[in-house]
Amino acid sequence: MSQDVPLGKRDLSRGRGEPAPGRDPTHPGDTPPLKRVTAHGLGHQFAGGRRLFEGLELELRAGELVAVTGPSGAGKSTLLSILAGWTAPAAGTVTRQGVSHTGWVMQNPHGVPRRTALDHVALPLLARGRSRRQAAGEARDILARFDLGEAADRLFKTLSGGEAQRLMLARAVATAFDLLLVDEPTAQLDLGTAATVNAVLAQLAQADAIVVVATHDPHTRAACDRVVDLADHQPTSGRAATPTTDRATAPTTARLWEPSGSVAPDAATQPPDSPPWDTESQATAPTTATRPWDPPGWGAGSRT
Amino acid sequence: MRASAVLGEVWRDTVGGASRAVWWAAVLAAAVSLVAWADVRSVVSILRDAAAFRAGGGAVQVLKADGLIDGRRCDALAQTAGVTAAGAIRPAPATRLWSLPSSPVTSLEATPGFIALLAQVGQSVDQDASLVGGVWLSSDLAQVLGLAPGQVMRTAAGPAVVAGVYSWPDDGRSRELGYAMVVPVPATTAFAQCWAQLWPGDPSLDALPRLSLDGAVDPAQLSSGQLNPSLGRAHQASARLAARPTAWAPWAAAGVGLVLGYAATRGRRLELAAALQARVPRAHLVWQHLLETGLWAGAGMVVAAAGLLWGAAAGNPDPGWAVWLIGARSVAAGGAAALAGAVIGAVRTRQKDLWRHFQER
Repeated sequence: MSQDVPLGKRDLSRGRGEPAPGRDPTHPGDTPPLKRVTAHGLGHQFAGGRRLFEGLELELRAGELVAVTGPSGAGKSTLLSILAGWTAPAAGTVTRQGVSHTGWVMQNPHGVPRRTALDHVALPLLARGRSRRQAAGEARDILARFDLGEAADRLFKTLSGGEAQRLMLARAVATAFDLLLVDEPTAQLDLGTAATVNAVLAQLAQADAIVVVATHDPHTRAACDRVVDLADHQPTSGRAATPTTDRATAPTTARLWEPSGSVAPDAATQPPDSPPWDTESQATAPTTATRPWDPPGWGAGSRT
Repeated sequence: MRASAVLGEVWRDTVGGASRAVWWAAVLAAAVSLVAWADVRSVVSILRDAAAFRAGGGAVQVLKADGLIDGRRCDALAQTAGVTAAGAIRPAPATRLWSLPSSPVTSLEATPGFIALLAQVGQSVDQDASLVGGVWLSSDLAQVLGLAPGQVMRTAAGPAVVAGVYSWPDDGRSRELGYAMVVPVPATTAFAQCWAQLWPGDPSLDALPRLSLDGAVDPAQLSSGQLNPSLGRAHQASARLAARPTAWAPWAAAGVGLVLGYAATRGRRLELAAALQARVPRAHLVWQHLLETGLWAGAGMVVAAAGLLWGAAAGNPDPGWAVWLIGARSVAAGGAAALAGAVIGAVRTRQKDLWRHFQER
């Protein structure tokens, strides 16, 4: 679905002449933006709890829309939290490259009740130096992509649940995150409303953003380019880690992970007080430590 | 983020109601008014007591030294710091009136300074300001004679114009002037008593009237005391003002303002956290909320300060301006602290608040 979106539209959130983060402005167009999140041997369990998943190998690149699925309690939200750097994994490492702005779209839409939908989308554009007029124009275009053109001038408090959730997605696009994590975007919506969200989900895929959507909604899953099914990584299955599968295609094993090669990890695990967007406080290399509840051989991200 | 964009956000949040500016202005105005009014009314109460003390003659020191008081020196005491009025009197032969031939009226001769003192101590003075000279009657005597300022009184010595009438209530003060006629005379001669109103009361100045004595005097020939000892030795207005419990009002108002500014901003922490996630620079976000708070805090301060005009003036024997300034300190402290609270609230907000909020739901 995302392939149907013209590139020009995808880049609406970025100003003319503004280089994408990670792209070398002196060599425009010669290489794709160097944004990548890689996970090796990722596993997690809560203190004293059962293990959620293990042996997860991931490589997430800018421009694709990846669904994380799995049964309830499989650790979908936890995986997002690990990818964001909020939660240290019990095992394995995560490296983030070229990711300085991480955004999160929650299950529950939130906004300023007395501000318009347009204001919500214009704010991140204003934050990056646009004039009010420029920001409003760009925001209207983005809103239209999320089927909110008619709702632009309505107050947030008058939006329906589906409209509000689509507004969250539109604002995320306007913010131009490097890594966008979407947690169960349709979980709080009825089927009909969820369909309106799923219909615009592909608009999230941007050339220079990594987008990961945790979901148990098959329609949301179908709207994504690729699926990571945590059911394939359950510790009780006894199976080795299996690769993730391409959406809508036969379960052939796609090339979903590869050695990170010369890519220098810019962050793996972070102390709890360092949000992933605090680039200055990011660790430059993963550190591991063993926690009391870890089984032998499990490494854990250090908590300092 | 451009400055115009920050101002635009401030404007939209305020006009659109997102900052609930009217509500917070009203709460701040009510809260600081409560504190400021408590202080202002406390001060007014002390000033009223002080005014009653002065009007009752509690602040007047009387030095008696028959024929030994220099009238000019006594009048000159009024120029001394801490003395609001001073003047000398001496008894004069009783005046025989045509309308009361059988009851000669007690008469006193007084320096010009004493007439001025009479206006402060004699309550509800009624004066014909167009007259120069003329005699002063106590209100009791004027009532008996049916005379008012400006009218002419016939005496055995000839006609006399009534320059003014003073009230001399029976409130514990010396009764010498209660039913009497006071005749202004030049201060150049010797008098029997020197009266000086000392304000604000300073016990170390009580002996000041002795400066009016004409040369060295045997202490045995002197006596001195308060005109009205029933009101207490001294009012100690300054000490009471300093010791009033509400002197802490500016601090209390600052505490209230700080809490309100902080609460108003932290109440919007999801909005702030979302703005940070939308990549609004924190400094710009802090400025935005400082300005938004400034608008409602400013409005609240104006309302509180305006209301305080009445609180400072009602029942205040002195001009209300000085008392208003005392209350305005509380209002200003409350408003300024609201700004500080807003800054603290904005600085403390983290993007993580957003995530935490939804994790805890």
